[in-house]
Amino acid sequence: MLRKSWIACYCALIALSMVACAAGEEPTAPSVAVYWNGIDAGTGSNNDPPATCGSPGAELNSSGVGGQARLAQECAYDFKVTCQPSTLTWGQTTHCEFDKGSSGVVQLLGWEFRGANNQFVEHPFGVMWSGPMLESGNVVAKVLAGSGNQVRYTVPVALTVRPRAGGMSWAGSIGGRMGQPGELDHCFRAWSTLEAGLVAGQSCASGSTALMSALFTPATYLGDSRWVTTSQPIAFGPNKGLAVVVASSATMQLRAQVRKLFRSDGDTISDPIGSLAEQACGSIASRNIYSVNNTCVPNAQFSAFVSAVWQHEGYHLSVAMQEAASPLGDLHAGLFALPPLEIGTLRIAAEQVFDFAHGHVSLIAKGTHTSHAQPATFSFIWHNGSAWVNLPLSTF
Amino acid sequence: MGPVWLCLMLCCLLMPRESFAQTDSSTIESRSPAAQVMQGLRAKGVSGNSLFVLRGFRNQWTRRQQDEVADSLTAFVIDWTPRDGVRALHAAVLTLTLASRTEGYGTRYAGAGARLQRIALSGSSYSLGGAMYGIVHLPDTTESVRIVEDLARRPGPAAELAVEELEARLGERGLAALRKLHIEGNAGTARARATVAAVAHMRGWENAPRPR
Repeated sequence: MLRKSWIACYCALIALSMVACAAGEEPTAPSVAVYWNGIDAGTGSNNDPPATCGSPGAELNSSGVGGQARLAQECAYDFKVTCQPSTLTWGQTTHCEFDKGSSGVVQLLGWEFRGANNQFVEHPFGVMWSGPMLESGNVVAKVLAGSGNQVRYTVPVALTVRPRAGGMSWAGSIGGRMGQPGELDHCFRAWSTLEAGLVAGQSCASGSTALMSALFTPATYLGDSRWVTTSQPIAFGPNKGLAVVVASSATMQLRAQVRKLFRSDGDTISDPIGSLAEQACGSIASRNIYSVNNTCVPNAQFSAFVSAVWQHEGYHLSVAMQEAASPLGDLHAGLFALPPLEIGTLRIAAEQVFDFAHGHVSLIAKGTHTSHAQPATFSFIWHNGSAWVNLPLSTF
Repeated sequence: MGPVWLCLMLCCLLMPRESFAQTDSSTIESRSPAAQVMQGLRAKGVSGNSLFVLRGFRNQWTRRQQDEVADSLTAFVIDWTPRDGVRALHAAVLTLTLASRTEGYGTRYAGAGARLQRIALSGSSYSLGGAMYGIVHLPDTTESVRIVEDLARRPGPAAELAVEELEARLGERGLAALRKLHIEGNAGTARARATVAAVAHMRGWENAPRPR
């Protein structure tokens, strides 16, 4: 019983104290600090609580009032800002208008749009601001009111733009297969790296390790802006200058390949092979690793090695295909999800999405070394660059 | 003075000052900038005004608030799960990237490179490529090379990509750092060392003198 009384008393006291303390903070002159996502474009400091003419927290923002913003009734001015419609389909036009009301000492300084993803558009003049909308955010009217003791107001009107319909995905158009003899041979790095096989994009290029390990086409976006197509930037209104990605020609067409050294079309090696192998080779004029291990000294471990390399690269290829179709690897889906941005920023964002997707697909596909392809060791005759040897080779 | 008034005064003194100002319409806005940014990323996958905070647009934020936002973005990326959405992941890293640039509203945020490095070091497949993009495109190439070289020396998934970036995107300074890696032989992983060896072969560095 005692406890209940105390709780009731405590609540009452809190209510009373709130009134008392709030009254103590009431500003002596009308001042407005409207916050939007932490940006205080008005005159207040960032640590002040939102306040309006009379009491802290009273209405000035536009939430839930159908695209309108107006000062509270107790304020000296009755200007208002409206945007219609305030809930829009993607690309629909909104019309924003400033009404200075009955007071003769109210002046519109200009407009701003503050988007949901850091977009910022300024419009310095005119009581109307209209245009097609791609991004949700606040249209903000900057108002100066009063004669003598002037107060600057920032009046935001929240606009909600529904997401862009449709989508983009490259899941149905990417591909990969085992390479034909000669395909991507130029993409192998020096044999000193002991890479017996590889998986690379169809347009991988020699001359740089980054180009050689590229999985996507184009192998890099450097100096090539054609792989991504953007919409025309919005020409006027709160979303002026914003654009989105509408298409991309980038693709992923993978090839798995075994180093030419181990294929039947491998380069001939003229070094004497020596011992029994030399006798066995007899009159074979062109000796490569394939012919030596299939004709001179038939060795099942050689073909088992080549099969293991194909299988190993096949694992990489299938995992890369799988990851490229996932939300993290689907470059086209990532581009479509980018918010509307100023065209220069959009290009940066698109390039970054390219690297996001490529990094993910590449890293996961390489991870199959440990998760799928089991190490195995094979013994057969091969050439180490200076002599024929019969040292075991391991796949990993 | 009766006990009621005494109690009332005590309440007034003890209650947090912020409590009085909070109403339904201002609750969200009175949170810290970092909290607001996180709320936007998690709830809607949007970056909100994070870039304006980091770039000190209109001088409204302290350096501490900026660092908190940058650290929150970094932590969000490192702890990211598919439930957070790819869009939010991209937005967070893009914000750090744009914050580092010289052009744009406000001024560049100097702490972006270190945050991107932390993301890259976390070694997650989903964030490595995007973070490396931001590092490579820092306005100060010296800082880019320093960070990428550091990543190349450390064990982890970033090492091999870092070697490729030094060669392909960071010009003569990148190549100089790569040659140093070749001579010292201390790239962070076996694959990174193999890539360094491949670059050395292509560029004819194989006979470069090694330190005694």
